[in-house]
Amino acid sequence: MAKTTRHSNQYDVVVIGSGAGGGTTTRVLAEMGVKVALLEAGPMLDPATEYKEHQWPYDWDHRGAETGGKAYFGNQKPFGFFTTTSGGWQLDGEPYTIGEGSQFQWFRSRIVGGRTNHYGRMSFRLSEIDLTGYDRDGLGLNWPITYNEIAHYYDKAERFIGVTGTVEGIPTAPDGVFQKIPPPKAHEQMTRAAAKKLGIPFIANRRAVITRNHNGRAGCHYCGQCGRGCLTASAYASSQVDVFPAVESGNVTLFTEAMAREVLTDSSGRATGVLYVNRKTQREERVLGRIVVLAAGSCESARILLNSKSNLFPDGLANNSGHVGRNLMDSVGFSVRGRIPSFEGLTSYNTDGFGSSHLYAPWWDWKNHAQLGFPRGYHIEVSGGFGMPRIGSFHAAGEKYGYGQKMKQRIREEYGSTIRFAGRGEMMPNKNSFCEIDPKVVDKWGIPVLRFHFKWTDHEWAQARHMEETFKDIIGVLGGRITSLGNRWEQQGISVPGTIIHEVGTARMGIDPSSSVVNPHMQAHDVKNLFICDGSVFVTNPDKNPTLTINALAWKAAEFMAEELRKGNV
Amino acid sequence: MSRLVQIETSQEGDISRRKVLHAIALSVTATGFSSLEPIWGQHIHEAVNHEREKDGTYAPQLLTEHEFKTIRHLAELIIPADAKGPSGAEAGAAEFIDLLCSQNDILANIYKDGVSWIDTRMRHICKTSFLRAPETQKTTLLDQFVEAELNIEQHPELSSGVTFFNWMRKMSIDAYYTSKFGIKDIGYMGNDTLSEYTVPQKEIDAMIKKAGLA
Repeated sequence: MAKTTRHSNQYDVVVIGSGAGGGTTTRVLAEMGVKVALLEAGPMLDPATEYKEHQWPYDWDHRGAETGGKAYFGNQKPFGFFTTTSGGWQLDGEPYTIGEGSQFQWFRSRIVGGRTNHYGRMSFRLSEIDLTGYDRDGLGLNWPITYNEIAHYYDKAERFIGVTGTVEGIPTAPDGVFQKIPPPKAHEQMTRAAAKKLGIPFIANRRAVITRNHNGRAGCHYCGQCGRGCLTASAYASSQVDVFPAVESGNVTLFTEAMAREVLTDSSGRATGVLYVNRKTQREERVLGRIVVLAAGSCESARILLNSKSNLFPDGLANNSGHVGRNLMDSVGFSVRGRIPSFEGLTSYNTDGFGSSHLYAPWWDWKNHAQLGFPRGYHIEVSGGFGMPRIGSFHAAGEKYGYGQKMKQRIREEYGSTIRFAGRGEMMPNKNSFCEIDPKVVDKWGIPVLRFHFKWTDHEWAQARHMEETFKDIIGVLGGRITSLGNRWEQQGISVPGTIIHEVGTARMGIDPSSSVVNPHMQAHDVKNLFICDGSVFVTNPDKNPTLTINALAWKAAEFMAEELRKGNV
Repeated sequence: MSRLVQIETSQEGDISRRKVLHAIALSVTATGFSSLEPIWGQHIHEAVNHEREKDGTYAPQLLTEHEFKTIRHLAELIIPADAKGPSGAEAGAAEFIDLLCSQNDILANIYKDGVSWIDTRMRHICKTSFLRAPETQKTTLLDQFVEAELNIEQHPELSSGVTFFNWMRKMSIDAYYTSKFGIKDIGYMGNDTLSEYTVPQKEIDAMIKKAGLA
């Protein structure tokens, strides 16, 4: 890697990462006429080859078990063969390490659009209650921005992306600009009725799926396969909705297979561009710009900063506070599955819907944390219905009913009668949960890798137990019985850290440069022309799946950048 | 709108699945089309649901003829034909198992050793292979497996057989329920393209009422 190619073009902005944050930043800037270089570590997305939408198991000789029956040995693609686009918990030649006594799983997706190609599309706004938790319980920090300051950007993001929902007036779940949502399915309506008796409100889910034609995208056609990637882009993915149109505008140059190594700086401490490895040639190249934006995903962005060492920044770029990589948070996850006999009488109907739950329960008991024994809330997702059969769907029935005619008949009768409740809860930042550079391990390009340290505290454990009791209660009111506690990642009683894939907090936002990395414009305190537009800027990790907030904050940051460029401030 | 029209008019010929998907993927980036016509959704569907023609003369790739036939018969016993669907064998269980065995030595050993085990067992009982044994002897053995798997410590002599039976059962189930037959049998109604999503509201209301949750 002796020779470095320097791209002669100087761009206004160099963005690292094409997921929710990088995609939004790039598109908003491009729409304002700003020239952007967008770097993506993976290849170009070709939805036709990448997405498996509408395929049946019988379209494949292996039926979805993958070559050699990987699914039978626990080596299948995460979330199954048909679901999930490129990426996984481990990538060839790109290791990460785990500190002693810690657990962490890191899901990376190296492709244009990153994880937005297959994510759950849950789109919840942070509320004023979420932003000011410190005032009530003294944990973590308050966010340095108010709800009113970001509401405008949530509006913009929702209007552009398209998010379903209904106006409810619940303080923990601020209303937004909503697309009409399809009607709730039978098991969801039963759940709503049962949960009501327990004082838990189930309301229309808020997901980044359009149900009517919008901005040149076709409304949902209800195949329920958002997790496979959506060929019609009815479900939001930054690749199809942000990046492709931005590239068409002529203001964006997309560099694929560009693995960012470090942010370059000059002797005055300004960022000048990005040094990356061209994965095709294995050579280092650099791309220069007036502004550099990190949107590589919380942990990858922290890694790049920590690897960008210089005389001026011996501990990594923008890390005078020492907080880069600190405050790493995931969501708390736990689930309970049950069988509801009364569902058996229902005639099978199409329950695919718009994918995932049509109803969810926002956190309902925010006034009672003093009694609850844990400081912050969670929301409930419900799944069930008559799903597409896949490898493993009926193994448990086989074990229960033996074989033969009786088994076949019971599988028929029980089909569609299971239900699953999953909680997604707020974790508090703690000093034992962070990522840092492993001094001994490098990836296949010689770039030092991350080492993760992570501990759940009593707050999270208590919350997971509350989830368990609540889900058991709902199943009880439904007249069902529990069939399993926890999924494969939750067997210890709480999700393995990282597996909810909501990792945030590694370059938090704040007013005080000694305890935060960026200001409320997502601008690094230490480097005025460096911005961070992904989940790393989160101050806390409320139970609101982070993507919509990443979209909104990136939009806010992009507008500020354009203004700063216009004024000549950067 | 232009790209939409192009796709629809070119649909007359034998447009390849890949071509349709490419066109759809491209049109997502194009501005100015206003609706997903139902017929267009149908094209996605037809294009992706390319059916594999089977001529019915499958030649096992790894298993011997005898092993293949034994496995086929076991799939028939595990998922027998009835009014709502054919047997696991007819749904391609043996082909599915043989294919994966040809790609994975661990699986191959499970099935080869398994067939050998039940043949040996049957020879002890009635001096013939599993395949040629009387039907009652076959089901007696399967019943023994089912009983023993609940309490394997007390049936150590059956443990190899039970392990094989377990593999046989789960892969027969998967082969059947992921086939068109199995999907029809249980009545999975989705993987469709709809212009509107609806639910059987009257039936749901009745269910909520019946459960005392209204």
